[in-house]
Amino acid sequence: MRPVVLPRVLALSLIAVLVVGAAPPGEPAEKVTVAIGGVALIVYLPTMLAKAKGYFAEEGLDVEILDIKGGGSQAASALIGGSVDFSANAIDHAIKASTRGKALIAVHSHVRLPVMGLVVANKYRGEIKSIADLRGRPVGVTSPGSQTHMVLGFLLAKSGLKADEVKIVGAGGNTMPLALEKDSVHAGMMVDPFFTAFLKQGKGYALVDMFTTRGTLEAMGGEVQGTTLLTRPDVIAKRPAIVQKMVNALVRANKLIVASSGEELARALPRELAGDPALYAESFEHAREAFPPDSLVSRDGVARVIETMRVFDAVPAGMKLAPESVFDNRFVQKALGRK
Amino acid sequence: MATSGIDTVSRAEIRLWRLGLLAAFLVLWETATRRGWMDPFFVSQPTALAGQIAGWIRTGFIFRHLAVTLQETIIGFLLGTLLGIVVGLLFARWETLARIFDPLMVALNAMPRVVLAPLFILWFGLGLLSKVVMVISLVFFVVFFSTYTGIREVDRDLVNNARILGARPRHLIRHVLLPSALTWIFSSLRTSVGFALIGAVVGEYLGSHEGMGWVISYAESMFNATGVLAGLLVLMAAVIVIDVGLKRLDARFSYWKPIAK
Amino acid sequence: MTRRFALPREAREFTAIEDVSFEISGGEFVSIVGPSGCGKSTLLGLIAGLAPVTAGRITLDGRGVDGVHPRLGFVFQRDALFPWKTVAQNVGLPLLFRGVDAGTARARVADWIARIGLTGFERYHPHQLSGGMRKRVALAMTLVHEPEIVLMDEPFGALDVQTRNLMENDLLDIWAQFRRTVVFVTHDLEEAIALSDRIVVMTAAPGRVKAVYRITLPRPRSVTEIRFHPDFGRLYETIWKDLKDEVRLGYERNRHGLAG
Repeated sequence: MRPVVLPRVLALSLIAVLVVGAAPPGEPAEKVTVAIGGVALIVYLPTMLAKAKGYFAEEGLDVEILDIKGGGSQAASALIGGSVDFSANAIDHAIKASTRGKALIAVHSHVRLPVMGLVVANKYRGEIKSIADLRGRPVGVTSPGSQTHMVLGFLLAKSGLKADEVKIVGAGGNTMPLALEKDSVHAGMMVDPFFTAFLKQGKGYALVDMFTTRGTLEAMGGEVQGTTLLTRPDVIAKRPAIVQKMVNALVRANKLIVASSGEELARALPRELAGDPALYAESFEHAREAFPPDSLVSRDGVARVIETMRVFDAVPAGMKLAPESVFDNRFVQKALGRK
Repeated sequence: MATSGIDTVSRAEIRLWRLGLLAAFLVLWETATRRGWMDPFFVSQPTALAGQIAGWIRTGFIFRHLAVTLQETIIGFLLGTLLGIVVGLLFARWETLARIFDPLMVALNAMPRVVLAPLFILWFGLGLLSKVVMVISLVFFVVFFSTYTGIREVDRDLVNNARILGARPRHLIRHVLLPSALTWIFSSLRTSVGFALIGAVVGEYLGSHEGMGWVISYAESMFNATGVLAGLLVLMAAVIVIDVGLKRLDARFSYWKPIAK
Repeated sequence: MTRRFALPREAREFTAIEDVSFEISGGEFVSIVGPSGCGKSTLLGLIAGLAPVTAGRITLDGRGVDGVHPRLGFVFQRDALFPWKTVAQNVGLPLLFRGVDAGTARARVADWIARIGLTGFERYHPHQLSGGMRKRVALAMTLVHEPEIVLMDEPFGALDVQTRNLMENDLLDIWAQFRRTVVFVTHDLEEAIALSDRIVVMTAAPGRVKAVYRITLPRPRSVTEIRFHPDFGRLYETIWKDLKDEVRLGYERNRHGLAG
């Protein structure tokens, strides 16, 4: 027995030494934290893909993604408070923070459309044919004050409805389909993958589809800036290199996205994120237009968002807010130029 | 200074001290945020709070939401209390029932019902019902346990005496068990009011279109710390008012107790 | 005339009393004395129907005891007044339970409150009364429905000596008025002699009847004066001889931790 075991032990320890010794020398990866309010949503695809494909690692970054259960607002709060360095958030949050005297800057555009739809439960197919028909009914948004809330407000205003003529209910993101099924709300603002699944199952129909450019233009009257990568001015000032590296990785991710099919992307992502690959592929194809190949934050898009937020006084009537104050495209431009 | 250690400070003095402390705290808070020692974005400031609440009162905004929350709280509270007393009575009267259900009661009570809130919303919708159920689930256990204990703690001699005097079971309940349990019930009521309000607010927070929980949630997503704190203050005031009411009620029903200082 | 006839009985896991048997005639005042733990309170509870007999029978007026007898009254050692009710409500409670109509009840309550000398205190609550006053209310409460048999379990034990004497006299006065059967449990031999027609002496646990004595002192008696009657001392000596041994036995047992 003895003589057989010894060589094995020797061999194993040799291999161990080689493996350890073979680790590439160089700078240890820099640790970066990103807060996201619900990583499964398709609007966060660029960040999640960059991580899955190792783009962050190749830039020398060890990115930790914190999946915040409270949603977008909580993720943004974490950024403001300083417990994370970045957050993937709708630009709305940067605007809200700005009205309160806290600056958040968008350095990369994940999506350039709202990527949400106004869905009505099937039983009202005959009754609710336009937004105006929502008068007096309960309508769901993901949570009070969220992007879905602001957008809904804009849609209502555009159809001549006042905010209190509709009962706006916070029904959650992943619980929205259920709220519709149970008739807790007659219509609701849905994000993907719930939107695609819901319509596919024939449980409802869309009054407004803002996953496509055309649908957005119809509904909102123009471009709307969607999810971005946000960070604080002090991070930009003190650690610009890190910001650049983050943006580099994300720009690569966007390029890959616009060049890939839904199935390819579904396969690139970890199983728990993609869920049912077929469904994911379908929902991606539907929202394909939302992903900007050039990753640039659109000034007009930001301006329109500011206008939507005035409906609810989220941006107070008298306050002037310049779109430029909430985004900075320099990093993207540098990344594009490097190509 | 009194050497015996007996507190010779008068009530008026104590009040003065309390007010003084409060004033000092507010002044410190305001100054800290104005001078930049603390960031008002995160902690708000007394003047902003006052302004927010004043604005709410002026526009009547807050009354509507407070009314909704109070409605849910009170309905749930009354139902939960009633249920708690009835079940407590039943269990105290029929020992076997109590023994069969004891583990279930303990297990249910140990479950943090606040965590169940999303489920309640799922089952009972986004309206009033889910919040009332939430409140009942919190209040019931407190009242049940204290009713049950209160009745079991009844002096055996009193029960025996009543029986010898000719009391029928319904007499026992009405003249002996319930009055005896009432002290326990009342003390538990004051605790459960706090829970009731929490239940209603948490329910609203997670899914509703009005109510104080909704107001606070909205303010939070707008990064409005002032709004959040103001909402909390309003709730606090409501609880205090209700508590005072309950204290009065308790005093009214405790006329027979020896005066303990 | 009411009569009670009792046979051997035991109670609970350990034998509280064993082989107790005696008879009581109607209208008699009988005291039961014995050392602590001899089971006299248990005995009373059995008679009252509050606890079941393990072996043997108790009959009241020819009928067996089954649960609480409606014509029975019981005065507890500790105050069993209902603290949330007024004096008047307490006294009227047995009438309420027995469905006596309000008018009659009111009259009887007023009558009894007067008899115990507490007129004017009708609206007071027990916590506002002194120990002696509470005892008097307890008495009234017990007697207001005119029970045929009154059981008393060391009722005056918690009172101070002066109040106790006053209460004992009050008791005798009231008893003299309607001569019901009284079974009085006490460990105070003087009290027993002063009050009773007969005394039953019990042994230490498990309790048995050691002896029964007839008290031949004349009535009406005054509790404080009767001590000076020549026969009192003699009776006391005789009975004490029996009781003394049992008391010592009980004490020794407790010291050595014997359950008996």
